[in-house]
Amino acid sequence: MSSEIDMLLEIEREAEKRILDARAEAEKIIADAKRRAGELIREAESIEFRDIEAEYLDRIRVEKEKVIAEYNSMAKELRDKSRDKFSEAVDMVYKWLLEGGVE
Amino acid sequence: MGIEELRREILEEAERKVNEILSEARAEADKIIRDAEEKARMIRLSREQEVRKRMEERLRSELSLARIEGKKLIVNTKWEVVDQVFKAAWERFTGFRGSKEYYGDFLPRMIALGVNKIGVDEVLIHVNKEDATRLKGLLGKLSKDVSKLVGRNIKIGLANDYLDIVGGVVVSDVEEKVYFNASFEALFNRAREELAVSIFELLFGGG
Repeated sequence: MSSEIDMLLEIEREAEKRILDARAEAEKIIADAKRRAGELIREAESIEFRDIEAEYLDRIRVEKEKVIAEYNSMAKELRDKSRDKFSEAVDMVYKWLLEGGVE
Repeated sequence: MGIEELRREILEEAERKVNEILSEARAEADKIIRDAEEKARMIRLSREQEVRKRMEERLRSELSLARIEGKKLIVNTKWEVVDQVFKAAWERFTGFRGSKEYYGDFLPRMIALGVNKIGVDEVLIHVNKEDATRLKGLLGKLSKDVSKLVGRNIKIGLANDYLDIVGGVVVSDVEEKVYFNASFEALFNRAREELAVSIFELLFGGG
């Protein structure tokens, strides 16, 4: 009878140990999940979107070049257009100089 | 109930409990990861929007600066052309110096202007060395021409010292207290001041 009780106690202890081990493993599973969750958040917070920045920098370069080309073309048009009246303008100044600024 | 049956029951109960504990832990861990993934997704989305917003602002700012530079280029181009006009007029004007019209028409008119401005009947004329040499023998004719232009007798003397000027004349009273500057340089500077805007408008329509 005594040996049967001992055996039962031993089985109880074994069962208890399995449950304790399971609790420890459960805690580890949750701790691992929390650590992984922390990593996921940190990764998200430190992401830099270099590809988006590069895409925008390229767009900025292209659009700036377009603006500069547009104004360079306008400046060229102005120079060309000014040729129509250039001689008249030179005459106007020259005449003024010859007259000493007197109308 | 035999001891073996009791043993099996205790162990099965423990196993059920173990499975329940681990199953709950895994479910909780899955939820923690899912929540974190969702939070990370939201953080990434928010940071992406921030980056896009920042880069859009940079795009607008850089394009705005480029347009300002472009407008500066247009204004500078217009004034460069105005400068070219004055440069061409100056070259033509300096080329005119020494000609028959220069001595026979321009200088008498400039001296007459000076006489009228100063308001005297006797003046000194100050010119560069080359013109002084040339005018020495022409003072009589010059006085006659100027008198005709002014409408009264004017006496003209040549100043002893020469001016370092390209051309033209500086007229003064004999005491050299009052001057009228019709040197090429002075006329040109006045022309720039008075005509620059008109030239700009003539060339570009005031725009």
